[in-house]
Amino acid sequence: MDCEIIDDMENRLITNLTWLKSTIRELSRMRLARYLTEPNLTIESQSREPGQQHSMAMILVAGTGFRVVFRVHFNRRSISPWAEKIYKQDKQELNTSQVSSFAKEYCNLTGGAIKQELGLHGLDSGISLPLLTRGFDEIFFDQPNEMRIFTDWWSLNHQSTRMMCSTYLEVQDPGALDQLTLGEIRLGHLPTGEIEDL
Amino acid sequence: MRDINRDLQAGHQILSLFERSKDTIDSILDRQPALFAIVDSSGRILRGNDQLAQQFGRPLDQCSGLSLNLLFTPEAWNTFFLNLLKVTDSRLPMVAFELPIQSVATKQIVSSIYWRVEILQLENSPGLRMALVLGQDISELRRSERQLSELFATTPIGLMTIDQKGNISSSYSAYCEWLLDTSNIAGKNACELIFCRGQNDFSMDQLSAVDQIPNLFGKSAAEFEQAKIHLPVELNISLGHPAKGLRWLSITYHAIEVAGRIQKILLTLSDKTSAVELRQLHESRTILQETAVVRILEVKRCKLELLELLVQDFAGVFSGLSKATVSQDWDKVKRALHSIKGNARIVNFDQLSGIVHNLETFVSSKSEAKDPSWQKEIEERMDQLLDEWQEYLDLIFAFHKINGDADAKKEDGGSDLELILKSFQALINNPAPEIAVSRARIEMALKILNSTPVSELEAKVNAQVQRVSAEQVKQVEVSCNWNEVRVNEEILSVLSDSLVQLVNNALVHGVELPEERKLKNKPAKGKITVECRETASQLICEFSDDGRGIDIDRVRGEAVQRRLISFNESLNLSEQQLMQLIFQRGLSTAKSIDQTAGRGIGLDIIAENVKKVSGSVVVEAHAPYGTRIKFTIPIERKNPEKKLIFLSSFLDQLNLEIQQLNHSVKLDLPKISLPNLNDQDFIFFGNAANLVLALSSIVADAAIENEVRIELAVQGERLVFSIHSGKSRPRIKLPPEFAIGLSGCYATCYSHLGEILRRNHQLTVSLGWIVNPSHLPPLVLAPEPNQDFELVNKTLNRVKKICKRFAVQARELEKTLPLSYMVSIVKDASKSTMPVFTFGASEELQQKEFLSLLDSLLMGQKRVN
Repeated sequence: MDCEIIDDMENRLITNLTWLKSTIRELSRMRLARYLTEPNLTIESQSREPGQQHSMAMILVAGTGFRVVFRVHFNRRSISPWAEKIYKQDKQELNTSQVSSFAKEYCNLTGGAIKQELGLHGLDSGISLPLLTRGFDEIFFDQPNEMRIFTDWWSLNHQSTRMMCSTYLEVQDPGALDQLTLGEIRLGHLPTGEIEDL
Repeated sequence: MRDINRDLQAGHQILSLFERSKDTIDSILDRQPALFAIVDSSGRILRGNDQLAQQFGRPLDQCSGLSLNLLFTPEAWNTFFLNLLKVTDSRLPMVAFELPIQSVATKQIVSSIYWRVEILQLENSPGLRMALVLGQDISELRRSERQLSELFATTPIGLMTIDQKGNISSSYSAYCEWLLDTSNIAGKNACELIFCRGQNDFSMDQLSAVDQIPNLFGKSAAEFEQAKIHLPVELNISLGHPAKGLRWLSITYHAIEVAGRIQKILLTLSDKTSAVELRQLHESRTILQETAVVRILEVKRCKLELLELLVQDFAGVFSGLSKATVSQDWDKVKRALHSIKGNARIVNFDQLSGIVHNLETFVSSKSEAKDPSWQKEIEERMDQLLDEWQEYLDLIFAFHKINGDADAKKEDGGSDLELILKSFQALINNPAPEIAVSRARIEMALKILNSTPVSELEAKVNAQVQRVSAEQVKQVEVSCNWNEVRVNEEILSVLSDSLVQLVNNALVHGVELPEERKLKNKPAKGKITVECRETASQLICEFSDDGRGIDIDRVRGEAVQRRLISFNESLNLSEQQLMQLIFQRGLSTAKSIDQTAGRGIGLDIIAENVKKVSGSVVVEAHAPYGTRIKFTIPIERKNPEKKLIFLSSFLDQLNLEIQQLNHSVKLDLPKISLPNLNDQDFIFFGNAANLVLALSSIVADAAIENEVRIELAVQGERLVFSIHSGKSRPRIKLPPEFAIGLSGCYATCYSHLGEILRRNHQLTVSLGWIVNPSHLPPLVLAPEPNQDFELVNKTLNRVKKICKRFAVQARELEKTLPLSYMVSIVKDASKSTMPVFTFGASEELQQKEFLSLLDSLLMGQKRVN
């Protein structure tokens, strides 16, 4: 009897996490597409490659029984075309902090979208400020593959520009996410948001 | 909810602070002057800094994920990767090494980097093996090092470092190659190249210190300083070519430390050859000076009469030594050396004795080893010995001159030799014009002194007794009875050497210590007796001591052990026969070799010498009552060296001498003539020069107080020389070379087979032989019994060819032979079955040619002229 309950709980957790992972992927794409006004962004799954990129921007969305860290891995050169577009500046004029600011702001927007989406499913959560750190620090997240820690890696691509993203999910209460899959996903109602330097 | 937001905002602020703080730290790391990277086990860069990015030629943010191998050539990367594996495989916590970053395209060194790779373990990622890589750019250091090396290369100081294996590092000053006379010394073993190439007499401490050099690595500087005290600081190395000789090096040692531990040792070499040579020169001069002082003291302490005997003896011995050395007759060389040593010890010439002893040891060891390379060395050492003796000789004559010892002798009562030395001294000191005596004549006078009283040996015997008895702490009394026996120089020399050796043997082996003698009921003081007497045909010399005698069993044992006789023979020999074995070479009953005894050379020299004068020696020993050794030497004088001289020429020389005597001392001696003399028919055998002086001395002596008349006649084959003295005249002082006493003159006459007869006022000297050319012994060419028959035949054929050219002349000349030659290559022609030839030549040119041809043919054979 107990085993059945546990299996059911795990199955639900997996379902919820799967939903959450794909939701975050889609939210990240939609947020960037809207941010860049570039609808042709594609999502490409990536294998786990810690420390590949020089910088990393991240944001924490935490609620009762779960934590979500959304991360953007980038080099200045890899995402500068998008930063140039946002800041409407030439490559030469664009400085490092502007690229970093772009990444952080994109993190912030995506984090906000995640929070909003979770809220729509009745899950209250808090959101941190986006942080910028070195890509190397990512290896500190590389914890043992326990049951309730999940990561997801993908890239957002447009033409030759590519931005690596990843999600770090930590579930303390398997039932905390149960509400996610009870309703429909309403991704089409994402807020527009505003660009600001963080 | 408001609280949550507030908490979050507070958290945000802290995070922002941490973010800025971390960014600052990252920036600091980025700007580090050293290369910095965190890599995984494959060498992929997880974190780098600006210096690293600079090496890649990319912005820093593009270096993450790159592999370090892009910085290296494949070969260099292999080296780096192996070192990385040591760390990531947890074999070592840290490795440090030098590896240059090279351009992959050109392979030129871009930077010289000293790498340090450490393990970096994360607690939350134990599976991820990472390494912290730090690279210190030491290009400048290497550049400076190269500049220094270039500087060293032109500096006349040898600088080199050696590693733990003792090998020379690649960086060394070029001067090292010159100093060590070796090119490309990098990688070579320093110990072999420096410490093992010379003729160094290292102490055990030094050898041990050199061996311990590899063990100094890894130790502290203090330990090194302690150890280097024993390392050689001055040594020599043999240069490549023997002609270059040795190079002396000065060495200092310095430790090169890394992290307080010795990693290398720096050697500083400099050339000290000139300084060492100067020092050695100074030392050798000092030694020479000291040697000279010792020599002077030795000569000064010695009694004049002993010196005179020594000079006399050594003239013959050194001559024999030279000949034996040239002919490589090492047995003779050893005997001669032994004789010199013995004589030198008598007069306390310790320095000379020591040199001879060493030389004797050297000759013994080398000749036994049959080493062919020692010939040159022995010749050099012989020369040194002769030089040393010459130094003594110079001093001896110098002291005569300075001290006037000869003058101190009484005018009468001195020996012939003393008088001659005195006159010689006087001539040198006061070359008065009225004494028109040439040096050649003095030498001639010296030569005729071939008769000496054996009593002159007493001083030598006493000196030897005194010396050896003091050394052996024995007491001995010497008793000599010479019976006014006179002998020639050769026999005197034989007796001298023999007696010295016998005294030595008696005191070392025979005469017991006083305590031992008392136990045997003998007087504490031993006794040595020497007695000489003359019979009609023999000289007998007996030497005896009252010591322990000769241990016949030991003689037997030694003789068997040295394989002089077999064991069976030893049993069959009589006691007397066994006793005679002590005269065999190599037999000594002494237990060890020292300057006094033990070589087994000595008694055999006696036997050899006695044999030379056709004598014999017999030993009689009666243990424990002493030993008696008896020499028997025939008195008959040996024939003098045969020389042909025309009688007319002999008379001319005699008359010339008499004229000179007349001129210098106003004597009125008649010219000597021979009635009916045919100076082409007669030839006189003998040593004319000596005989002329002897006869003129006899004539002069007779003419001192008398008027003389001289008659010359031929009786058979003898020339009869008669001096008639009659009317008295005032005494005239003769020149010193004639005032030598007549014994030497008579001896010279005797040696020419003369007879002297004195009747009243007439002295008749009858000399032999006078030989008619027709009685000349023929030229005999015949083989020795053991000569190679083929060789003799070949020689004869060649002689025949030569003679053929002279055949006609020879036949014609048989009647009126102006000159004849007798050539002999055999000892006993009567035993020969080979043909006999007689030769002659008339023309002077032909004579010379003939002689020259025979000379070349019969090289080494004796030619009688």
